[in-house]
Amino acid sequence: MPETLLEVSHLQYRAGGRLLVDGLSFTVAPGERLAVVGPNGAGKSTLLKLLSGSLQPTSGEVRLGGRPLGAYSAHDLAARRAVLSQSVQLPFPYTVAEVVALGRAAFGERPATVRTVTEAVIAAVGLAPLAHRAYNRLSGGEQQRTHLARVLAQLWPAPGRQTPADRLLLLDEPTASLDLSHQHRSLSLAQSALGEGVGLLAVVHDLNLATAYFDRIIFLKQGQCAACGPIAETVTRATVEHVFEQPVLVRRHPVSGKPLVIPCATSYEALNALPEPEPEPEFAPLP
Amino acid sequence: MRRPRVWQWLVPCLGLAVAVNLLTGASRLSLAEVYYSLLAGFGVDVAEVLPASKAVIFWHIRVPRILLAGAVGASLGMAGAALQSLLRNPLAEPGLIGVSSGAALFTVVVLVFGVGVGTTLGAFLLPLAAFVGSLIFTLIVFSLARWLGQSSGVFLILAGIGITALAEALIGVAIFFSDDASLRSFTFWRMGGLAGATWLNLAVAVPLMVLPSLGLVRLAPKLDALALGEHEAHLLGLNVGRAKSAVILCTALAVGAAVSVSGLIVFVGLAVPHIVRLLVGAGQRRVLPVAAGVGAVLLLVADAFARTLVAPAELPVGMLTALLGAPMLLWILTHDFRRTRHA
Repeated sequence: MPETLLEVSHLQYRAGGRLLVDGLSFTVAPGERLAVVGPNGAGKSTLLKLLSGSLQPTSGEVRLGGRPLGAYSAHDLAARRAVLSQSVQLPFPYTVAEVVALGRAAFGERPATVRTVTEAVIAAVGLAPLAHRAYNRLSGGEQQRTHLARVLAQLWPAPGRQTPADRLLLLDEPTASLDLSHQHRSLSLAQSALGEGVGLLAVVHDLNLATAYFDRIIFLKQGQCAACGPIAETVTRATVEHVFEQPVLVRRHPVSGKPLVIPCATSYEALNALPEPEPEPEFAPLP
Repeated sequence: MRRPRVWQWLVPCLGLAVAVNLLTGASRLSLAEVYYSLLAGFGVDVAEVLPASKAVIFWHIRVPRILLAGAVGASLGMAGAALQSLLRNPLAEPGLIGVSSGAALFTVVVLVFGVGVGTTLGAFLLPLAAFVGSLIFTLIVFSLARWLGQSSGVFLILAGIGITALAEALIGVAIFFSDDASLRSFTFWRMGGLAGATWLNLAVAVPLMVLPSLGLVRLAPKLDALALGEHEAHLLGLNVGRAKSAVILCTALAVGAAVSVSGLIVFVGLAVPHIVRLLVGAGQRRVLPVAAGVGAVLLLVADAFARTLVAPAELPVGMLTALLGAPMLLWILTHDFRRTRHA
């Protein structure tokens, strides 16, 4: 297995005279989970399009498994990286199982193989009760879970077919239309369902979901990397306030011990006047 | 999803439609006459029980016409289903990508200005002009859409609307210069009709309908992926440009061949996919073959009416499909809309 799965170097994207992505460099190791956060218009979705190969960078390079994205055929790339987009419309009454099966549509596999994979993914995502329902009659959250299952199906190991070692899952706000429990279920599922070695890079709006489910985090501001590193060291009050221009408190999560970001409606002055928090009470970690 | 086996009643419907078309028409054939005609076709001597004229009606009028109606209906149904999926628009129909307007323009030019009349092409001139016109105009629409913006069905629709309007304007110019006889022929061509069914026409046109239609069936998984949108299909690993070109080429060939021998038969390509999706859902692997069957049945039924309602004269079958199809489509759309709204 290669040491880095995704390698981004000096990535730049210019559109309409503006630099939407400005000199980003980072890596994702196999099995690592990287969250991309930042205010609206910071270039998160553009970055994801560059990483998925939908957009060509103005300069710089994206390498997956040691090879530039451009060196893969569409088909080979699709077996290695799957993308969950923000909103996908489907104008016809496909069933949930059919939508999930679309994840394998370009691989030219036998229908029996596609069915095996589809059934496994549907079971893993907990969509079995909905499998034969019409997709376009589902709620927004159920549709989102269906698409998550579709992109998981794309990277799912298939019988009789070698699974690429370097697989990457790109998610664009995967939790946007999900309720509280499904937000957490989806993220823990995304990281565990595909097994070892699959990298995960997700654009996330909720900072506390980012701290709970990811190993590292990148703060984007105006196309540039404002901060980048492991969650515990990077998610600090100074960074969050600088990037989002919003007063926040950062405390330790009483259970997980990870940073907990609390947005505050008050002014910076009022926050600064707060006394330092009491030392955290010790919690036994959940079994 | 396991749906009720749609072929269990579609095949009997098809058989019934064929039977009705064999038996009815300007000159009625009895069941016995149909039976003897069949025997005659396989070389059995039935001269004593069957007048020769009946066998001629059977083998040279009824059978070719049924085959043509079936092939045209099936092609239009499949092409409509494929295009609606490609353009992600339930209101798309083959006419939208320039097939019909191109055929109409070339036909009116031949009829009014007599271009090519008197050349060795002879009886093939009109169908050939319609076929070439439909292919050329589809190509123009497709290239224009590519030039406007390479990867969006919206541009294909916009280019189709623009080019269709241009073709209509040119048709208007041609009509302005036409005399009464050519105007009348063109008007009837435009309303569609299957009277041109001969074995010779069938031999040329049917392979041009059947082969691209089989191509569409092969493209079914790609059409499903394209229904997610071109961007998503690309992310799934599909070579979107190639898939799109293949779908458009297949539909243009099949519909062009259909239009060239039958004129403009509207609403089959638009309404059939809606009916089929109500029956078997949206997966193209099932939709396309069932759309072929339903399209064939629909056109056979319409043609049975066209041939009998005002016998011995004949109604243009395109007029009937419009009369039947428009209310049906309205019903489907309102039904669909109400269902989704209350879901």
